[in-house]
Amino acid sequence: MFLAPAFLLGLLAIGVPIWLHRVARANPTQHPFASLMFVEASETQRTAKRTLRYWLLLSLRILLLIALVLAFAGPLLTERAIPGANANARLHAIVLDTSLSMQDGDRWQRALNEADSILKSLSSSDRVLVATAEGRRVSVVQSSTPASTAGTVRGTLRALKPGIERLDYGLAMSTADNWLGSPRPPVVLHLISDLQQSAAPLRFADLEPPARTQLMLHDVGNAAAENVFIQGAQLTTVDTRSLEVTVRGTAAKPQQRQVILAIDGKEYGRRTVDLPASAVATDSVETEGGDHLTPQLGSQATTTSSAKVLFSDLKLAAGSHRLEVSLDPADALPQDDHFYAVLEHADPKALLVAPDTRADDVSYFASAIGSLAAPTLSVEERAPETIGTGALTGYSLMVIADVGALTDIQAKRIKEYVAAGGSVLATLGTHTAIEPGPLLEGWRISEPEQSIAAVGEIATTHPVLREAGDWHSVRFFRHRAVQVTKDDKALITYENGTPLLIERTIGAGHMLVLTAPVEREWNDLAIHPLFVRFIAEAARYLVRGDASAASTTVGSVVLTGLTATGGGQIFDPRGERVLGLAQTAAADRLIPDQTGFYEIRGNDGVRWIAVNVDARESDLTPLPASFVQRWRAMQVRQAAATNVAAVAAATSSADEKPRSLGPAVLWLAALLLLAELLLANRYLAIRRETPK
Amino acid sequence: MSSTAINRLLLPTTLAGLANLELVARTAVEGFLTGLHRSPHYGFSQEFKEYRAYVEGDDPRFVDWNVYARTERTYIRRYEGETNTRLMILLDASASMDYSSGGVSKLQYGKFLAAALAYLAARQHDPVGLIVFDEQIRQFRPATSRAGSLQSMIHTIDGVTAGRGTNLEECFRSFGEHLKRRGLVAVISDLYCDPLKMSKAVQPLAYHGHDIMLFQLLDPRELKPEWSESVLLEDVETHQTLNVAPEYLAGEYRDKLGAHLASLRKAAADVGAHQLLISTDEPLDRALRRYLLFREGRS
Repeated sequence: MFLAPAFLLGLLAIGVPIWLHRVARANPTQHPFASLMFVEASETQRTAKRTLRYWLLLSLRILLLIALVLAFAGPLLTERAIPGANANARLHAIVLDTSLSMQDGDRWQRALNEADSILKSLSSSDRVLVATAEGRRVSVVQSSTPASTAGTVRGTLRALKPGIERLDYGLAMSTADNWLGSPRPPVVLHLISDLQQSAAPLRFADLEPPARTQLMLHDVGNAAAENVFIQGAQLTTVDTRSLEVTVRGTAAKPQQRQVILAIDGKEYGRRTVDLPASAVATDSVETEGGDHLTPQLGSQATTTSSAKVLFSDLKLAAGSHRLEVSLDPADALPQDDHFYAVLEHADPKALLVAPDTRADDVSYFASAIGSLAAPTLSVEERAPETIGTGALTGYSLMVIADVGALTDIQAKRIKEYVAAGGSVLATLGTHTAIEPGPLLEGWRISEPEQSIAAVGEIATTHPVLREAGDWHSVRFFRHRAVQVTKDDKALITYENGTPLLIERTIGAGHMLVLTAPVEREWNDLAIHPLFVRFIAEAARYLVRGDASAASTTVGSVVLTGLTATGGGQIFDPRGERVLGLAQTAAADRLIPDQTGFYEIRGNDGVRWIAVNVDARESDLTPLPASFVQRWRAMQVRQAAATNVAAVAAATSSADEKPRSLGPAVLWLAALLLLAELLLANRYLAIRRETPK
Repeated sequence: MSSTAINRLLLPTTLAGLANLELVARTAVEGFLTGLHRSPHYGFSQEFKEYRAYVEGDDPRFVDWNVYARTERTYIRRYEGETNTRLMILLDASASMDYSSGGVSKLQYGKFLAAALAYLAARQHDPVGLIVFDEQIRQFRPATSRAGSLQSMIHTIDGVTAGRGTNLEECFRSFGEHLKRRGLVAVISDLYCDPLKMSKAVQPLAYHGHDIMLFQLLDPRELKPEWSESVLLEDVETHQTLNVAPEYLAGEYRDKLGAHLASLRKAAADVGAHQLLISTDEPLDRALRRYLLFREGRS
């Protein structure tokens, strides 16, 4: 294919050098001589050599002309025209599951052996690609290379190690089109994995491999594998001084373990737990006394067994504490025998900020918050002008009676408090202007309307509104329209769609904003029975009283609360700096890659983030045979469709994206020109016939 | 070669830079004679002096009275070769003599040589004559030793230009008409002729008692033509062209030329003449030295 085939007529110019060379050969140089008395006409014996030289020069000139003509004509290379891509050539993509479960027993060694046997079975025309799948990414560690370089590929394989993240097969398959690259020959995708049940995606359709790809599943798992792990630890809802640890197992026989709780690096206590055989799933609860009880039969819907251990009456000083729960003895997969959590154990304080501390709404808020049983909050009332100095980080919750009463400086300070992980419950009072300042940046608030309004929609799935009560019975005498940004969530709206309760996220913190003040002129919310419950739920949600809220999993995104103005540093569990010098001012997100405690040092002090392995990865139960069968059947159907597509592609090149060879040919022409100049110069020097 | 040695050798290209041919001749001959004093061979002089006892009949004018006064015996002083040698220079001015491969042409070199020989002869008060010829005799100056004749002779030599072709045999036949008295005949030519025919043409002169010296001038490229590619050679006299391979010029041509030179030498020897081959890149004084040494050896 050519972009401008008319230029090919230029090939006729090849005749010019041919003619010139004929003329040149017919006319040897003439020299005067004294006498031809002893001279006879003779033919040179070097004809062959000279002819060869001329032929070399002539062919160079002809090639130069051809290259120039082709460069102008613009040759295009289509995928079909790529040489060497014979019909039998395949790209074998070896995808190794490097998730946490592959560290169990000898799974990884078996995976490497399987990869090696795949390499041995390849034909010389095939190509091979190696990728690892872990967490939310598939990394190509060896790009497409000829199968003949299997030695290099083996070297790459030997350097690989399984990680500690979780793999989702759906994610690996749905992104295959990207990491396989294009254009590519037909692909045989070898997935070497333990085919863990917990790695299956939510949607079965996500497992579909891309077009022209044959999926080969290589199971290196062990159906009989046993694993005991800690699923989680959290403060009980009844008593925030009691920690409940959930231990699960997939062992075929009953297991006994010691559960050790360490607080801030020191052992606090240990309990013994008995896990029943996993054929029947049961729940057992350890009592406060430390004696273990006989497990009671539970649901049989799952094949794992679980047990809970309770550490009650934790006598902790105020402040944040690092809890580490571990199992003893460890099993073949020791990474999940530890669980880390950060417990904010303090007497939470709430700060009530109001321009007039004697106003009705202040007393309503103070009474409602003071009456809470869990969490217990002590209320401190202050005027807005007093919050310019003094740390705000000591408060678990700030209640602002009227955002409009804050100056810009006060609002910025509160915004920084929220961004660092603080919580605010605010109302828009009578002082609120149309543009309410930095705290509610981007909002536009209209003047109050004197009309009766009622609540329309309620987001009952939100934790604050789960037990919402009858908001529809609350009467609103005045209300105001608020335009919020797209990142804000309206949890309750009036019937006309105007938001009443809005959740706003700033950095690592949250705000709940009521667009109407709690005053009798505006509504009867304060005297309604749901008010206290709403305040309690909002306070519980905002202060996040449970310890597990401060733990996350490897590979997930964590908001650090570090702001551009404040800056700070993050230390990983080994005590090494995570951020480079240039990042310290702009790292508001962190993706942890180790388990343990990350320390975040910012302007507002030190925070800890506990990072654990994903408990789903600890469940070594393999995919049911029927599931694997369906998956394979899916790819057989897909292969059949691929064949149809391949035939269609062969008959029509409409989808082929041709590549222009023009620049390459132009470079070739430049090289030929250089060679021609050198050669011609050399020959012309001889043609001058100066005697030696 | 040291700088002194270089200065002593008068390269033809250096001499060509001198405007005055007489100056060239004098430079060549004087420098050459100065060089001869350093030579153990004291060569060129026909004067040989001896004393012999007076016998009756001897001319009493030659009695050395000084010796008689000392010894009271009469001796007469005798000179050998006291008769002057007539030198006739025959200069070939054909078109082939005008050939040059880069340095001086054969004709130019021939003019240097002729002037040097004339100067040498005039220095000994020998009569010198000149014949310039190509296909026929173009100029003739009879041999004379009159004062001032050298300048006019050199002026004539200086004015010689290349003519057309050569007819050496025919010219030699007509030389007899101009060479009545015995003497030395110096032929300066490239001798592109049949050696046998030339031998026949020269023979009458030799029989007439002339001492014939053939100076054969050839360009270095005529002696060793070297080309790396085939060339089209054009004869400067006939303008005939021939395509010639370098292999031929390096091999067969040289063989033919060598045979020709040998034939010439033999033909010359047959008639009592002598041939001296001179390349036009040879320093003039060295060529003269070779000639004189050759003459000395011969005598």
